[in-house]
Amino acid sequence: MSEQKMETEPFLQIEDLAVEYYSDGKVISAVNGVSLRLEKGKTLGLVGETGAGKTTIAKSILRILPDVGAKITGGEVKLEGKDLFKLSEVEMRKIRGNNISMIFQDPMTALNPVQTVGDQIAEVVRLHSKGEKHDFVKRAEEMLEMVGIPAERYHEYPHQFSGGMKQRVVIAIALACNPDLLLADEPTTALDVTIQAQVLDLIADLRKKYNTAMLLITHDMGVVAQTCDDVAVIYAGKIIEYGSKEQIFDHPAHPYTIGLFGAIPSMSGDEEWLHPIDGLPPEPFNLPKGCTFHPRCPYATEACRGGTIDMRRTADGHQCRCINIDTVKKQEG
Amino acid sequence: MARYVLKRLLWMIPIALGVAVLVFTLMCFCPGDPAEIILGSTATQENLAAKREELGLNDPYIIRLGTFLSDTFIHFDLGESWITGASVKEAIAERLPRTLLLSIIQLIISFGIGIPLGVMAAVNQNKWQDNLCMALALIGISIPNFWLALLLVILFSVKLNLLPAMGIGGIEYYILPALAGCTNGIAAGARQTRSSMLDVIRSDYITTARAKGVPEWQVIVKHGLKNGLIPIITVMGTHFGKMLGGTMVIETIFAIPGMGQYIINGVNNRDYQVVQVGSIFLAIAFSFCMLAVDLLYAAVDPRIRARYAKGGKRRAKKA
Amino acid sequence: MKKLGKKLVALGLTLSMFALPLAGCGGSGDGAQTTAAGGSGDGGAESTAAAEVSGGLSSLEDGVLDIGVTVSWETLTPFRSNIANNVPFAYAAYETLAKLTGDKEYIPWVAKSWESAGDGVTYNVEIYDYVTDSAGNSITANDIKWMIDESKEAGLKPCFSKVDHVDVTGDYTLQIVMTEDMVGAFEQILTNTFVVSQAAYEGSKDQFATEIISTSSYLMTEFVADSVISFEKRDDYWQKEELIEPQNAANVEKLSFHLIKEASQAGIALETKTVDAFVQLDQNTATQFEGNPDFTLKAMSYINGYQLYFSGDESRIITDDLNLRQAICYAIDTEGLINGVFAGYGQKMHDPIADTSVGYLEKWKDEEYYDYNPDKARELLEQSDYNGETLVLLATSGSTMQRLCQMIQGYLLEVGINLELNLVDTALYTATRLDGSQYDMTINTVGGDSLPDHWSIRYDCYAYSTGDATGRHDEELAELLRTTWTQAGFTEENIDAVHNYLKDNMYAYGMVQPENIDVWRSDLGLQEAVVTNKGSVNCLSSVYGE
Repeated sequence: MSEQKMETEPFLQIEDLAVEYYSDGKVISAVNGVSLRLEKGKTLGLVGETGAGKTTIAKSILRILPDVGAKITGGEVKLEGKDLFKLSEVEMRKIRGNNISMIFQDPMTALNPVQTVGDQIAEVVRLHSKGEKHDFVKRAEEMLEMVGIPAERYHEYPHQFSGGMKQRVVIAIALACNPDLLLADEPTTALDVTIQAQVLDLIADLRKKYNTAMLLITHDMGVVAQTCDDVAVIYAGKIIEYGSKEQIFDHPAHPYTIGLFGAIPSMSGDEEWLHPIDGLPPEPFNLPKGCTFHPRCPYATEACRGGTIDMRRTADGHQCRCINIDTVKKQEG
Repeated sequence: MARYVLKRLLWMIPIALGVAVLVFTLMCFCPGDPAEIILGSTATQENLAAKREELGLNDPYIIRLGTFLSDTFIHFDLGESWITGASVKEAIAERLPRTLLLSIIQLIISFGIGIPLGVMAAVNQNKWQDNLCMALALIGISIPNFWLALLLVILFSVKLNLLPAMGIGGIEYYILPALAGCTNGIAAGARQTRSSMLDVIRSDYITTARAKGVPEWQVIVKHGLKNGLIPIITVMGTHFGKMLGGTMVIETIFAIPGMGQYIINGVNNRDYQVVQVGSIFLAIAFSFCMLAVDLLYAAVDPRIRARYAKGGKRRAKKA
Repeated sequence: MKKLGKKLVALGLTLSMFALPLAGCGGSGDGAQTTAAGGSGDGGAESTAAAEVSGGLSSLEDGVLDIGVTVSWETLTPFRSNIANNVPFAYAAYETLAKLTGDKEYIPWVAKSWESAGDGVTYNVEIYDYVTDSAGNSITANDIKWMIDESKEAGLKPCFSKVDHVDVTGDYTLQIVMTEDMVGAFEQILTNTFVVSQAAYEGSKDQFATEIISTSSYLMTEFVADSVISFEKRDDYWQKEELIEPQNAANVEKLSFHLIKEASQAGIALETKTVDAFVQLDQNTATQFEGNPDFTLKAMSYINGYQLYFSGDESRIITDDLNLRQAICYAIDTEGLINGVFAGYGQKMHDPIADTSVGYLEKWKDEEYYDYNPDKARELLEQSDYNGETLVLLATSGSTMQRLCQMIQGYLLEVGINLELNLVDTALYTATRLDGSQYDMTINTVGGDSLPDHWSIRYDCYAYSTGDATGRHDEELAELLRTTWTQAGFTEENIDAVHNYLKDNMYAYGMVQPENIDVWRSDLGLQEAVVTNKGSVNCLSSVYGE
């Protein structure tokens, strides 16, 4: 991980974020003390399995968690030094779509079916800038062209577009106001591979143009490799490994991360079987004590089963939440 | 789109015909002799026999049906009431607008109050606002209309002297009747809106809207309600249809000569002509109402609009 | 627990919804503690707190006398059936040849005079020679003939079918020949023939459906079918002042009749001054105006009474069992019915026919007529052949009739007679009433301008193919009836004979004759009420203060 100078405030700083869900009288700890940092213009990849808490983190930043049943119970999120959790709802709205925007996972349902795509883009422009209606429309048309959709299709409805095109519209909406931070929640998961490449390229181009920072949530290591500067691996609501892309890819330290790489089929060499990680992700309301990964970990020791596991520093300087990293490193070579 | 509307208008013809035949047949086999009712108990057997002959009651069913259908649909001769001799066409021309006006005002009040109640309930699910709104809706369904009517009359006409208690005239004569009859609609509207909105509020595009920084009330109304309107419109449509036929109690209490009273009196008096023609008009009015509902769907939801326009217009370009 | 709480609240709300209206209804019923001004008598009693009658028509704010009514016309055509024939404004719309007053007198109107030619079927009528309608058309004997012929052709009122033919004998005289010598038949033609100029009728665009031209002293100014009809007095009325009978007078300048069917709304209309008077107000609503000095009530004998007819069909056990019939009559408490159903506004009957009918003998009121006597009823029941069978009572299903029938059911049960109620809608009733095999008893309100009208359709075994109106075949009675039908035979003696025969055999039992109640605001200063033969106040001709 790049050495952090304590003097300069990071662009985005998440400190000890904790979020709880309430369902049927049970309390679920979805996010458990997560801390992240992001520099302007850089990309942080957030990797983990479904239900690990990735989307929750993104929604918490924007404070668009559902009112009923979810609650931010602790932590701070600072954007350029300003604590977003301390802002009023009205102030927060000025930030949403403007300074921070989000791209959602499922393009098929992310757009309002009864509003034209052009109007949906124009709406976000209207909310955050001054001007006349024709100004907003013009900007919307610009965005459409920018994402590769002819401007004539302004007046068409989402159901008239394919999945890939819809996602482009979502991207257009997200980038229309030149946000400083883009939260991309598995933007390519629902698309087929060829479209995936197009969309990723598109995002990359636009980001370069506007120098937008991005928090990319994904479970696809290939996408991480292509787009990210830094990587954080999240498991059961906690960050268990955190470093630069090179560090994580070249020297994964946590057994879980190693397991993730191991599960990817190799393009070189013959593989007969896939190597998944043993076991299943833990029940969110019944997390294992100590290290949450220990029931599935081949390196688990007695010490792993109890107490709080803190972040350790690895040999090449990135962070890992495991007390046995030396052992693991030795075995993996 | 125009083709769709045309097709629906053409469909009304077989519907009207079907209703005509059905009602005619039902009245035929209803016990009760119109001749006796018209002439009263002082009539002799000869009087009655002559009257029956005159009304064509002795002809076989098929001939009577045929005469009725050809008179009504081909010559547009709607005949006279057997009991009063008044022209049916004139009577309906006067009464149908009153019933329609009453029903429309009731509809506006019902859903004007019901939809916001439902939205408030859905947005505050399980909190006190939700319970209050649903309690109000329950009260609405439970209150008997005639009881409410008389209460309203006592309050607004007798005590406050603000509104007329009965009769017809300007729009002020329709306010109390509409208020008395709208409670069912409020309940129906509130419940359907709440249920619809609960569905819609969980949708992803609502989250997208919030993520764009859209103010919450706009999220609910512009993004949420607009998407949840389809089932609400359906309920409005069927409710309106029910009101067209069911305003009889309100009409009697408020002395409004409308379609409800007209047809019910016709049934009681075995006034075949009135009942048959009246039913056809109600059926057609209801058909228009359903057409309006379907057109409203199209206005609200572009996907349905596309479906209607399919097969005729060039297909929209797909990516 | 929360869910259970919600359910209880919902249940509680629903129950209170049921309870409140019942409480409300009970309340208003109890409120009528003042005794009604009912009781037997002619003309009826008036009740108002003020002894003096002050006020007058000038108290009308808008100059229009607004009158509430419970029946109205859907069309104004002069060719009408008997339905809604007795609307209070009929005489403001059209005049007839003669009028039957509340004193049972036939007074001339458009007809100047009439006389019988002696043979019982031929009558000569002379009309005034200066009768004109509001458009200036002169009325001649031809117009009258035309109207009678057309009415007969239309076949809407059975009375016209008794006319054999009409001949015009002069410009203003005509001869009417009836089909048979029957008391009251000719008079019915006099009182049912609306006077209309043939030319005016034929010139009308909708055959007088919405606009009329008539000889009446009133001009129709507004007409909304089944809602409102308004009149204004015209100053070119044809009749000379001194020749206008008091019952035909036109003492109000502007009138408006409003149809209000719902009883409580009628009361509210009076309270809010939407109407200044109400004709034929529901008895229970009328009680709220008793003792109120702002309003004057008048209760008058109504033309119909509620009668109990026993089946005459051979298949029913009641047909040949006189003891059973008499037992039933003694078991019914008519005073109880008057108080329970008509709020005290009514009188006991002494014959199945109402006392307003022409030919009714006043002396019958002094006779004993089955006063309430449950002990006697049980005695007679013992003597009868009744063995606990369930008798069937057929009646219409209106709310008044329902209450009446339920009370009767209660009375009969008291003495040990089981009764089943068969309440049907009007049309079904009309279809079933002549079939005596379908019921043991039926309740009806059959009236008639004169006694033979009533008798001929109830007890004449030759009237219908199945016998008389309940399927009975009593030829002796038919003989007696026929003696009273002719002009000559319509004597007290013959009438009494029929009355006694019916009483001895108890084919029918006259129970209650309800009173009609008219209410008006006291400040109208109604000094002299002209009562029609239908038991109502004639608002146009009554005398008011200034």
